[in-house]
Amino acid sequence: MQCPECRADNPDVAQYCHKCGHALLRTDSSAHGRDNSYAVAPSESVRQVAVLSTIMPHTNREAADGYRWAFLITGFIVLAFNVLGLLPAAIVAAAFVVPVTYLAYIQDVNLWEETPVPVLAALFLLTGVVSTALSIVFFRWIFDEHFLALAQGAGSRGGGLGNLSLESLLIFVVVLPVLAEAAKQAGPLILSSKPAFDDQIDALTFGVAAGTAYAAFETVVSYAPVFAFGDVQVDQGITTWILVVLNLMIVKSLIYGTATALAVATYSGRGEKVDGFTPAYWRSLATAIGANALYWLGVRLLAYAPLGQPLALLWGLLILGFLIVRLRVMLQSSLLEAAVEDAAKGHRHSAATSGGGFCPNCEVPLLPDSMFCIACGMTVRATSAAARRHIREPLGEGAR
Amino acid sequence: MSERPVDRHPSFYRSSRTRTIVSVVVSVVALSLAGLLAGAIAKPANGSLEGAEIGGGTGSDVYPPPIAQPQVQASSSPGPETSAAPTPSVQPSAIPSAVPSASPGLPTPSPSPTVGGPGSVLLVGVPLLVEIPPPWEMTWLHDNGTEAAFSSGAGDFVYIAAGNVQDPARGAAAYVPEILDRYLPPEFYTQREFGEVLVQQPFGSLGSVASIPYRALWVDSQSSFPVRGNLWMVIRHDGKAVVLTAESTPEDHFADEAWRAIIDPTVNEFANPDV
Repeated sequence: MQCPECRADNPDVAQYCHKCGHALLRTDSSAHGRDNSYAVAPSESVRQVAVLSTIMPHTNREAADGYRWAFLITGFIVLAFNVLGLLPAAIVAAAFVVPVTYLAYIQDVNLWEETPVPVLAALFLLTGVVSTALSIVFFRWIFDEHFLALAQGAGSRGGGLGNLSLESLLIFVVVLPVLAEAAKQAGPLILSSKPAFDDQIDALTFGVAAGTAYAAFETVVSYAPVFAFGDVQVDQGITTWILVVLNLMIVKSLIYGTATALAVATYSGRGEKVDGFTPAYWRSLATAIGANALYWLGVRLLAYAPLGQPLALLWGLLILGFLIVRLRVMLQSSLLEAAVEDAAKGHRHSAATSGGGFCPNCEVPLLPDSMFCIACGMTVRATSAAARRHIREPLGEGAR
Repeated sequence: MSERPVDRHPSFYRSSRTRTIVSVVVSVVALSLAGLLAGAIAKPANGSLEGAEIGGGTGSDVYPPPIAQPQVQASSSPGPETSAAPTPSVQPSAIPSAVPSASPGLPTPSPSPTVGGPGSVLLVGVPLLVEIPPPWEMTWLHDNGTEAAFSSGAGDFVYIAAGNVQDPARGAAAYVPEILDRYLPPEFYTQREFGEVLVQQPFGSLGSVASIPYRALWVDSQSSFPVRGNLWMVIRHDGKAVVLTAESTPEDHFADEAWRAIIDPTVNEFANPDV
């Protein structure tokens, strides 16, 4: 069977072209005939708001279950701390649930290859230090008065926006997100420029890691008063704190992570070499900053509305959903179009299988020189480092 | 058909599912305990919450100074967490149509008070002219013009709401516990601690004055900060009422009483509208 997209020959039973990933049998009306099959996680559609397969593209279904359970258990622990009124524990745990899970993921898929120290330092320590410094400046030192002024009319006290200070609003919904995004991207951009990490999916992962690390350290600084106020265990405001902690643990952390991932992945580009600061990167950067700004604008303005806290949580989930879908659409398009370009030029991608091996997702044997599994359509670029080594070696030699 | 054994290659991932879950959970719990420890170490000794009298202390001959009578403790304290009814007794929106120019004796205010500068603002709920001395600035004004917030730029904040009450004879001390949730909303002011309701001798046209000190942790989804403050309610014989809060962060700034620069003249203005 010849692929209508790249003209590559495929077995008659192939569901997807092994060269370009185009759907061969069950196509839809989209450009590559497979909007119902995300190339990173083929059992999901591209526009599905699925968190794990989006931010952890190197896992397969089985491995993703481990992270899913880890996140559920730790999330339950965070809420338990909250319900028990142990706010210092709840805040720290909420801040670090996603970054810690992500660290485990990066270690698990061996994304850092054999250079864990530089990768960790660039991603977490550098980002954490910059996040701490920026957060102190904005929330505790130079601009703290502006934030406090914004807080004055919040709650059912006022019940209206009134003449809100535009200057203060701009500082916290525009200036801070712009600077924060620059800080979040510093480490991932450096790493993505290295030949060892120039794959777009690696760049996406670095972006998520840095974004969530930034969120964690910012949370600790901006909620530092929790550690020094009142008793260690409290019995008031539990409902309020549950909403706040959910926002910090899930929404804020993942918005920061996915927004940065979007921009860094665009910087890396779809090919094997780094695209750099192209117009597409600046557009993605604007999207990332815009998403952060919109999120905080919503949080700030909804604070003046009845039920402002739960509405802020819902608003954040909406922004997060948009970012996840945007990231998946971008990655799907990049993976498939890069493969088509390579096929047209006769270029062999370094990630292509060399002699066989099995698909890490469905375990069907992979064809030589393939970029996609012919059975499930998964890209071979979204695999762990160990799996990559395996599928690039002839059968028998890769099994150890 | 012979089945070919599938090599699942567990080495694709360094950790098993169990190891992944355990390592993440243990790490998060360890960090939580570190946070708990930090919280236990960082707890400062909290001072007692004491109220403050307001108004009249300007040294002016125009406004009578507060009468130095023994302070009266109200019969009940709201305690750490009030069980007050959520319906506010002060109804600033009840008189939004008050015409500022119809109030003789008031200086002519700016017709469109704006946020961010010194000067004055007229709260239409009474109406009540609030002078804003430097370095204070108005940081927020409700759309209906009855409530405004002010900042000193140094961690001191004042909030003023003007309106009226249905039954001025009840006295401010009776109203204070009922309005706490309205003016210190628990969805933002968490861990609230209140002192005793303090009844102050009224002066001028005032029928009653009462206040309550408080401390709380202000929180929303972006940040949190501790506040130490005081809430006053002053009611005139004609049923007009003003609620004022002054709060500072860090908490110890409250004792500096920077808020008096805006609170005292406002209360005196309210107590002596025809002077």
